Amino acid sequence: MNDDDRIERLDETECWRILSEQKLGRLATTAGGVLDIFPVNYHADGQTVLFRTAPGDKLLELTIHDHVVFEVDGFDERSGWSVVVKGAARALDRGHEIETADAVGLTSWLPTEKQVYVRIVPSGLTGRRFTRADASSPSLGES
Amino acid sequence: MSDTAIEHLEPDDCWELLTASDFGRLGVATDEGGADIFPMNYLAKDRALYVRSAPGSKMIDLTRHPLVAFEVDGTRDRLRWSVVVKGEAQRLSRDSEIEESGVLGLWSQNPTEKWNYVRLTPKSVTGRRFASRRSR
Repeated sequence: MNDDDRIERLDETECWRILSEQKLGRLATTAGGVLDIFPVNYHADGQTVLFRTAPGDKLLELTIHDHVVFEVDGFDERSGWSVVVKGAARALDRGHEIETADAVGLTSWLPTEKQVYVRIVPSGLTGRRFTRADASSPSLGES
Repeated sequence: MSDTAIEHLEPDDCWELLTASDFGRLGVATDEGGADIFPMNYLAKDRALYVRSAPGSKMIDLTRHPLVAFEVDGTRDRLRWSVVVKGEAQRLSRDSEIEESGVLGLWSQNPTEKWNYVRLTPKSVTGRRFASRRSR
């Protein structure tokens, strides 16, 4: 049996629906060829993904290499799913952009004092849903 | 709240958290110079992580991009935590390696020879922990 038989590709509408229902995702950056992953709280508005971060390493990486990958996943008893957003990330530095972002009421995952908003404009959006072949496998756990 | 609210975890604490969990996200580099992320179950044993990739899947292109990052996070005692392991991924080629790793125990269904089993040998392990500002 080919494992792909159990993988369902999600269309763009379904991907955005999943993105809009959750708050926590993981961001991967590849500055200088070095891969890193961070959990981030986010808000998806159907066109872009907004998150807040400390103006430290992560932001520096974005200015060096703005192509990022953002992932959200979830599961229930019967299936699991993941949505991957690829795109360019940019820190918001204009007053009206920041005001718009403030209205979302987003908090940073890390309790850092200084925070900047970053918005990802997707160039690619893919979603997969897969049947959990082994319902007796260990719980995936709260994350 | 100041940045001092974030506790940086020692390796022992990181491994204790990794061992107590079984689900994380694997980040891999791609040919295009970007990255990709895959959620998956894992096993932590003897300070290494073990995962498997689906049959026929090209999700983990180890030969071209062996350096990977694996992130696990959660909440314990009202504290949020996140641990990131960076290291080298290597496909387990010998049956004895696969048996000894215990990775087969991650799933109770009978594995076939098409599954790829992968060991992630850490080069660095970093972790952070902080108080949750609101209950989730």
